[in-house]
Amino acid sequence: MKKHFWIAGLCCGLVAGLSSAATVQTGQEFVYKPVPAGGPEMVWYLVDWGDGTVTPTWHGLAAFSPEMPKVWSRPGTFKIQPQAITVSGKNIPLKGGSVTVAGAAVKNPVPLPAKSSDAPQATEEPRQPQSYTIHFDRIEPVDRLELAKESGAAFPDNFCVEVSTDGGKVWNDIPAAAYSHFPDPGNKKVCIPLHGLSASDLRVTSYKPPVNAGGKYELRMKEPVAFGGEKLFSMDANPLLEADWNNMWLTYGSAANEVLHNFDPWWPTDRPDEGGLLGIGSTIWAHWNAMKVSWLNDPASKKYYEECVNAYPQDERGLMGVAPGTFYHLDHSKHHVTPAIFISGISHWYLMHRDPAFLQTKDAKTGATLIEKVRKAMKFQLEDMDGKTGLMTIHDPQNDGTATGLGGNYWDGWRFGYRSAYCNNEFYISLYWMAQLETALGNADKAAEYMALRPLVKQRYNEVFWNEETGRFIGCEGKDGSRHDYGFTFVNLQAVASGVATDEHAKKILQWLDGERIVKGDTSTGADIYYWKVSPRCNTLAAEAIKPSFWDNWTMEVGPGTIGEYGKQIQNGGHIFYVSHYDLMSRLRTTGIDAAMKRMDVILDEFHKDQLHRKPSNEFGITHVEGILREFPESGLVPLFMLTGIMGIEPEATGLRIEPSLPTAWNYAAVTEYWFAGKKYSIRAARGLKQPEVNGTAIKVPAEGRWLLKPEGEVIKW
Amino acid sequence: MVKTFRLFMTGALLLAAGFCGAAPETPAYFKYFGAPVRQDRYTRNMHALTASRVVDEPSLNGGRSLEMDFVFQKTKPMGQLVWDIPVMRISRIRFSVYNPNPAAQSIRLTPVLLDTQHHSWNLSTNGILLKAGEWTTVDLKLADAEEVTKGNATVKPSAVKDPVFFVMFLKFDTGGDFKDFGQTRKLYLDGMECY
Repeated sequence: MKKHFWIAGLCCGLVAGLSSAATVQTGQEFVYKPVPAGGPEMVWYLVDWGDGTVTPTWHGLAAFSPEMPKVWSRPGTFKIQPQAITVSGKNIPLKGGSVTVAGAAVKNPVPLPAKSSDAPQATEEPRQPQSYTIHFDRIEPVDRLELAKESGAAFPDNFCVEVSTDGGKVWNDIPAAAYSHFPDPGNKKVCIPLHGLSASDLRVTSYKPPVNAGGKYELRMKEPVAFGGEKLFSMDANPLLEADWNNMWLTYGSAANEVLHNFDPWWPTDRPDEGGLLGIGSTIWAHWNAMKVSWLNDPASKKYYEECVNAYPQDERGLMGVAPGTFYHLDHSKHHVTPAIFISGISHWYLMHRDPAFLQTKDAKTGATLIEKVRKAMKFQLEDMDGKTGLMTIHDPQNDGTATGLGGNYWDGWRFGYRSAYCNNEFYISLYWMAQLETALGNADKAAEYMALRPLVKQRYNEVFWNEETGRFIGCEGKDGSRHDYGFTFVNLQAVASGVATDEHAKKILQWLDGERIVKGDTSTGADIYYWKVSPRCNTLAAEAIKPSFWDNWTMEVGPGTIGEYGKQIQNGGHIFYVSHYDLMSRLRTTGIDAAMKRMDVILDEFHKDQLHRKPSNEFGITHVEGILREFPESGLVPLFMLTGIMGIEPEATGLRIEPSLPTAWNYAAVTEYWFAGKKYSIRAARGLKQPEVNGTAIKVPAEGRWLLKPEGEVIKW
Repeated sequence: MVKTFRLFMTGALLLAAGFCGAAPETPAYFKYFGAPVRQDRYTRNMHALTASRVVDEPSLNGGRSLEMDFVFQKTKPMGQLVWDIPVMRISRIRFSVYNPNPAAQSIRLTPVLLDTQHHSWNLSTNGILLKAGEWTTVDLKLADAEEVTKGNATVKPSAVKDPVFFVMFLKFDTGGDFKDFGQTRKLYLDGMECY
């Protein structure tokens, strides 16, 4: 978890590479940002902190540089010397500065107890990998690894750190901890941040070991030393499950150990370094970003989110743009689902932070406050889009839901428009969030109006979008009366998860997905629906199966031998991982937590193999087959199920609701750092407790029941 | 006097290098398929190249190899391995390919690199014949590229200022004598080094 304590007035100095001296206290985290190296090549940074330690980063674009946290344990004046190393090996010294550290010396942390493997043996094979392995007695969360040169031996110029959670049976790379052309650190310790990575074993491997004095290849250094951290999620499940779950969050939630080309977790990274991401600043992600980021202590991301959301344009009626400065998704189409997502995201964010000033921030162009924009967006849904009738309709002729209409939501390969099931589900969700927001702001009457409309929306949704023949919801109904049912798993699972689907419909949907019920004519049936294992195919009827197709071929054709052929394209027989969050929530709601955990077990088993760093291409070299990495930060919603599903944590008008659903085999589940209303909490749901226990900001609630953490810290039955 | 001293020093250094064994040149980038990194993170299979996987044998220098399955078709006699690299400055590439197929079923290899200024660097316009039953080492300098193009324009390699590269295409074409269309044919790549 990030714990940045930005020093007041220091930010400019940091950005400029610390042009003026700074002061910090011992034990306090200080964030340093080197001057970007510049140049056409990618670089990584190495900062010498002046206290006998150096910290390397991952590589990225040289126009950017990372924010690097540092804690000094003793007082003094320390000279910071940064350098950049290009990926081809050129060393670029950068301007540094000095930091004065005040206060008493603090104790250095104690290394984790570990057994080390024997030092690697010299060999004549230049390409034989050599490793130092350290094994912990149990799975440990590791915050950092320290490496040091052995006297008389060459420090490896290339090495990486790899992790195992199962005692060394399966190893995975740590994308951000791979270095090439590493300069000789001399007598300084190399401190590699690992951000609480769960590990039973760590190894430092060189795939091209250095040449020793005898002309042989030999990896030689002092034994690596690991320092522990804190588990973010804990539960009394199999430790391997707990480790993989935490590492899945680290990969796809915080993305703390991923390569970030812009040194920023909000901007996608290109091949060959694609990985997890924290968020994307577009309106389409406004609610997912709030879900992922609002509970973290990450001031930079908080600032970015809050700046972004007020930069989304809004037209005079209330329709929102898709991203700061534009109404058109990739210059192609408007997304009428944006008002709903905007409302839900802003409401969620506000209810987590409880900062009235946030809602009063003004749009730089129009001067409208955020709360005015939110209310206008709702008015647009209710009036211009007929939402008050219980069924929202997109009247834009470009998004008419026919075989010539344009796409209208995140799933931009499909012509969702007119009466869109996807859009109406988001409307249903936005009514809930708006009601919570208005209640929190003291507008109970408005809130009641929104809540009163929800049953009608639910009724109309199930009437209009249910396909009796296939036993599932269609994607949309076009203005020409056409009904488009391609077995959209995302439409159906998001509808079940939100509760807009009736119980009867929810059960039928899960029976279809689980292969208990075969839909005649579908391209994918039975077990094949989960061909990708970690989530269902996004559609079970090929886009090319019906002519004219509901597929919007603005980026690619579909059909045999094309780039978009079924099973070779993310949106046509491929999958996007985030859908599994709604799959898990659907099962929790419909068939219970143990059924949801069966699905989660499959996902975790797959994660264990390769951390889901999967990016296969189709025969055309296009890697849009599986949607897990790069521009899919919503992958992080899947491990977030620990909070949204198992612990049942969600903000609402009067506080933070905690409504646990522990798997039968578990006695507790906990999150060690959860920020709500400006305070840091640890929250634990445990069986056997009769009443909540509050000890400062450590909260325990009974596993059975529904509880509310109030903004001031009190916990009540809810 | 100065000249004599320089000659002496040069000779002494050469002698020292000879005694100690010259340190091997360090590649700017290398991959020997040993790491637990899924290859689809940095390679892509295209056209007649239908699948690829890391194998222990055959190998060179203690590394592992990439086994590639090609199913060439008469209508699609080309398979391509696309190799994505971090944006970097390189001047030379080196790798070897093992061809277990009969000599009468010839396959040729054309390496092409792309730089960030959108130049396409073709290192062998006629393709390199992959010798049957043995390893063919490809060791080419970008300065010797046989053709550098940008759109329809052809430029000299030396005319491109400070190129940095981000993707390599290894194109495998069947020769005129190739007849095994529709059958799986294997080739092995021993790794990749860029300098």
